[in-house]
Amino acid sequence: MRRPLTALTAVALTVGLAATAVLASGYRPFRADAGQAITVQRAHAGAAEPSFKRRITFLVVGSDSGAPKFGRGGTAERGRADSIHLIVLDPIRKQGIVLGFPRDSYVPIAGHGTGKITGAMAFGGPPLLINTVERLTGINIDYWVITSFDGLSDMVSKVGGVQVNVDMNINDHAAGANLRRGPQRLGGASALGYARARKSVPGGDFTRSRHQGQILLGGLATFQKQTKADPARVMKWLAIMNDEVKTDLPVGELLRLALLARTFPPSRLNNVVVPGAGATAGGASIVRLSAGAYPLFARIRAGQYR
Amino acid sequence: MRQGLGTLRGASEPHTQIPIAATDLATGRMPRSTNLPTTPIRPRPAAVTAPASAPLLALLIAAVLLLAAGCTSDKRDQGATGQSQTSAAAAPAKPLKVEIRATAAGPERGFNAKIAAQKSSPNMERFLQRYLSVAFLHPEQQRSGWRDLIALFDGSVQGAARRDIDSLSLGSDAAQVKSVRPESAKASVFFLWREGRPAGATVKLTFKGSADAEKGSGPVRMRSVLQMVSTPMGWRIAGYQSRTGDAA
Repeated sequence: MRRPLTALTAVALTVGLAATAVLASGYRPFRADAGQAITVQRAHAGAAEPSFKRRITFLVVGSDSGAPKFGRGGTAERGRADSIHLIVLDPIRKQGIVLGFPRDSYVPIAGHGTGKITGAMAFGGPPLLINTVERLTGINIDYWVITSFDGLSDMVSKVGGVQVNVDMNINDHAAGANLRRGPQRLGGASALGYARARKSVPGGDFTRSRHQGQILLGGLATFQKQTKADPARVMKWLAIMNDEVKTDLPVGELLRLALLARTFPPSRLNNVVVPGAGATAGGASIVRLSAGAYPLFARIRAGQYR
Repeated sequence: MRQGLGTLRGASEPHTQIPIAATDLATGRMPRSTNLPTTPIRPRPAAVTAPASAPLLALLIAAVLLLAAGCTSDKRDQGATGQSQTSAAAAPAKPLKVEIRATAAGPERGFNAKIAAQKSSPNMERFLQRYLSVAFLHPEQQRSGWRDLIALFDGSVQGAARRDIDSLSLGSDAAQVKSVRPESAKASVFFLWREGRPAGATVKLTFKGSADAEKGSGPVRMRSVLQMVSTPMGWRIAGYQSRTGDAA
């Protein structure tokens, strides 16, 4: 009888000591605070894109070279500039302009007298073309971006087409354009055709330049729509651009601009073509800029884009 | 600069500032746990005459003491010095682990997306560990205005990040938080490669944890899309969409 009692006492003593030790250590099997679920973190949402404190300008050029698929050899930046657009962005006011230059604009080219603006790039690459546009407009250009026929059509195809409101029926065999008027998604070949059609459209070079601006703005709208649905598309677009364009934009700045572009309403970018009129010089057809071109440049310099 | 990061207040010694290595935060790792000194227990020689229950009693007491020591280690860990001691009783706290799923895009020719993603991931993981560690595991960062967190943003969005700090970290809720236990951190990353190196990335990041406050505990959540740019100083966040709390 005595041994079971001793054992029982020992067990009881052990349990008692254990309980005492555990409680003395500060351990609480049911902590008052742990059991009480509270809201520690309130709901918040925020978003931001890079902020630029200054105006950004870049020259977007479509070259007639560097497009093997179209039988155009050479390099894009040593070809003639078939399309020339000065894009001015005011990130603070979220407005700007897409200013197209008719490719036959007859302008002073440093070291080459007066000639068609399209030839400036062939004479001296992007630096001479930029110099020509800067001297003509008085607007400093920060960066250049150049693509080719192949580049434009491939880029548009890879991003799944761009939404454009085609403003006239076009049937231009030479340009590869057969389009009906109205809003539509243009694939790579159709977008290139719309950008190239000149002889079959009223207004010729001026209309073509406006159409090219429409494709740029359509691309911006498509970019915004796709990256809103999937933010990772930003990098995919940049990867596509990486293959299809040449630029002097540092990659970090390119990314910041791409993020800025996500929030820049296309409707706040005015699509304008420099005014002028067809003429001839030395037997060649040219475009003489009209007197109204220079007040337009002055307004842009002053930050007026409408 | 790192005053807020380089010290942790020991819970068991409320008036003592205990330094920890700043590199712990640089890597996003939690501080090492304290290896508590334990009383060595020598087994009694079996030859000694004693009641049969005595060895059992001694073993039970020893077990209880060890259990008691283990039960208190949670709180004392917060005052970890990181000094290594050799005791089998202590287990190091788990570092914050970010599970990364990565893909990459680069030039059409000669680019291996799989290898590029693998090469890019370790640096990104370290960046995200640091981000989450500063944003959630160190509520005292609030006292410095989240300076170390803001430094992880590109200059072009630092102002916006200060404004949106509540959606990017514990934010103003940090004032009531004593500690946060990470539960999961997952990132889906899309790298952009250019000129043989990662130049940009989009990160979809989710973080789940549990926070202890004075009056109880509750979940901590963040769901973000971070647009990242590679700079000479490493990755920086150049754009974001972020939600915290019930909004995440």
